[in-house]
Amino acid sequence: MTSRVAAAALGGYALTYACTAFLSVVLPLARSEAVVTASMVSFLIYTAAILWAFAAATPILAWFVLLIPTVLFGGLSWLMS
Amino acid sequence: MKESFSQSMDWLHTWAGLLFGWLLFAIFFTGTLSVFDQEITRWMQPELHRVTPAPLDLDAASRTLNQLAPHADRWVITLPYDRKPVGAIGWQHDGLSTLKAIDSRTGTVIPRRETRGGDFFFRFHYQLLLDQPGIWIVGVSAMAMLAVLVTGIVIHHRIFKDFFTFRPSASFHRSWLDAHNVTGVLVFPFHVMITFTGLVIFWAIYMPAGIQTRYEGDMNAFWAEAELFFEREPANQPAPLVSLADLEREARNHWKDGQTRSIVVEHPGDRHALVHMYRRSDDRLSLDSGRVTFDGAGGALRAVWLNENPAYLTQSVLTGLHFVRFGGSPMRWLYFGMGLAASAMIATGLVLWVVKRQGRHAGADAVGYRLVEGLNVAAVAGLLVATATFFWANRLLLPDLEARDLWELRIFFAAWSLCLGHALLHEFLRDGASLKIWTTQLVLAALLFGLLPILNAFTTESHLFVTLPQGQWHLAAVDLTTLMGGLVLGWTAWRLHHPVRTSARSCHTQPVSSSSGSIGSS
Repeated sequence: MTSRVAAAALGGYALTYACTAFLSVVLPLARSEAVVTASMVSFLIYTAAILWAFAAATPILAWFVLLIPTVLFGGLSWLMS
Repeated sequence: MKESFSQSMDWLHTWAGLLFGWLLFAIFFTGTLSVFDQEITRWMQPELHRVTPAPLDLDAASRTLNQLAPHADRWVITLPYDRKPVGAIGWQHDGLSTLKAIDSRTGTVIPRRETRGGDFFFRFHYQLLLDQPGIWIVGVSAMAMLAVLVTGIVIHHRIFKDFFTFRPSASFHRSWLDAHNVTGVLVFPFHVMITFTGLVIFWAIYMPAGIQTRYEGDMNAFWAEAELFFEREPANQPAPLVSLADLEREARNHWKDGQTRSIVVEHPGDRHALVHMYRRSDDRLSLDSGRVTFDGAGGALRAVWLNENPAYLTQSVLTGLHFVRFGGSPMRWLYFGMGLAASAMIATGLVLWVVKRQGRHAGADAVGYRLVEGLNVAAVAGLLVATATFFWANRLLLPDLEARDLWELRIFFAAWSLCLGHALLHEFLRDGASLKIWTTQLVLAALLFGLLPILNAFTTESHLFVTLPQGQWHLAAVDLTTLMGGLVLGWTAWRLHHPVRTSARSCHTQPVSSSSGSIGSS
């Protein structure tokens, strides 16, 4: 359970951060509008990530599914900005 | 697999609910009081109750500020309106803020007792009086709340049937569960909305990823773009301020039937002074409906921002849904009721954790169990006692006491700490006394709330016998609400002491059998 809690809190935040950064870059809106839109959606992403961390069959799978898109979206938004 | 999924959801609901529940109860209860922050502040300043409302003479206010704080970094003028009939001036100098009530016609300061009023509950509600760290603690709790709300639905198997179920006379465990489900399910959309919008308010603090990637982390650059916010350093050359009344008339041309809420003057008396006029937004959902900025020295129009960008407006509407400045009194009462339901849901959830584990703990296990029991009482009943004590302190402390507003806060936290000490002492020194601690503190809270209107009658000229005949509902409602609160708390304490079917003795000495169909019994 410790691993799931860490996955939810830290892995979830990392995923949310990466998704928000990515959306802020790719949304076809004015800069400030894209940032606000991405940030409002971020809390829904975080909630879903927390639930996933506890719903996954094993803690390893939970971490795996959270970290892959974190690296992907984080890398993409770093390359694109 | 299915079994382990629902166990996992149940685990998250139980433990996140317990660990964050104490704090969440305080956040939700003080937030519920903040719905009426203006009314509470007004009630706590009896010196202003006799002031006749009048439109504020801005130039008179400006003259007073020039006398009292000519070198301040910033002036703030708040215009009177129905919820706050006395205008106010304030200033900031070297990080210190001062706030005074003024006579609307002459601009002269009206002496009144120093109090944080409803603003105390408002600030505690979102930052626990701890500034930025407090905002983070509340944010983490809010995320936990969202997770607990969703898992609550997932583990709730009989949602529709339980809609119509409340068995106050059934087994101890069953009736607490019913109360938890009723307060949780009935206004579930409110719980989700208020938690989500609370997070959205502070998006720039909680989730700065967008500001980092698109603005290199420069928050001010973002505000300048999104709100056309205009700032500049002082020129350090004196220049007189133009007539604020003239500027306010000009600003009103941009408001479309709106009123001005407040005026902020940056660097007053400097050649680079700026005057920001803010539009009141209680005629719409969004919290921010516009700002006009002028040159303080020449009066030239610098910026007009009317909050028309769709995404930013959406954020402002979500914020407005949380602040409930729209919809007038009926909407505020609705929020107040739903906020109380949310607080009750959290409190009954905390009690359920204990009730489900009754009689199962012995020896070392019992330490944790008793700690939870004690914290439950202090977090719920203790906060109610402290809140009532805060109001008593407002009426009993001498009006001109030095740092009077701080003494009100000290007394609030002292009362809360005493309740915690009382609960823990009884938990650990006397076996199985939890029911007694609950009733003791609830009876105390009931008396303090219920007798508040009587204390008010002895200490002010604006008690129920005056406010009711004169139809001063904003003031009378505070007395009547505390009276009702006292009665409800008294009834709760009485019911705890005399359960209808199970006797008080059996319900805290016998383990609770998991009745058929009860949910979440592990």
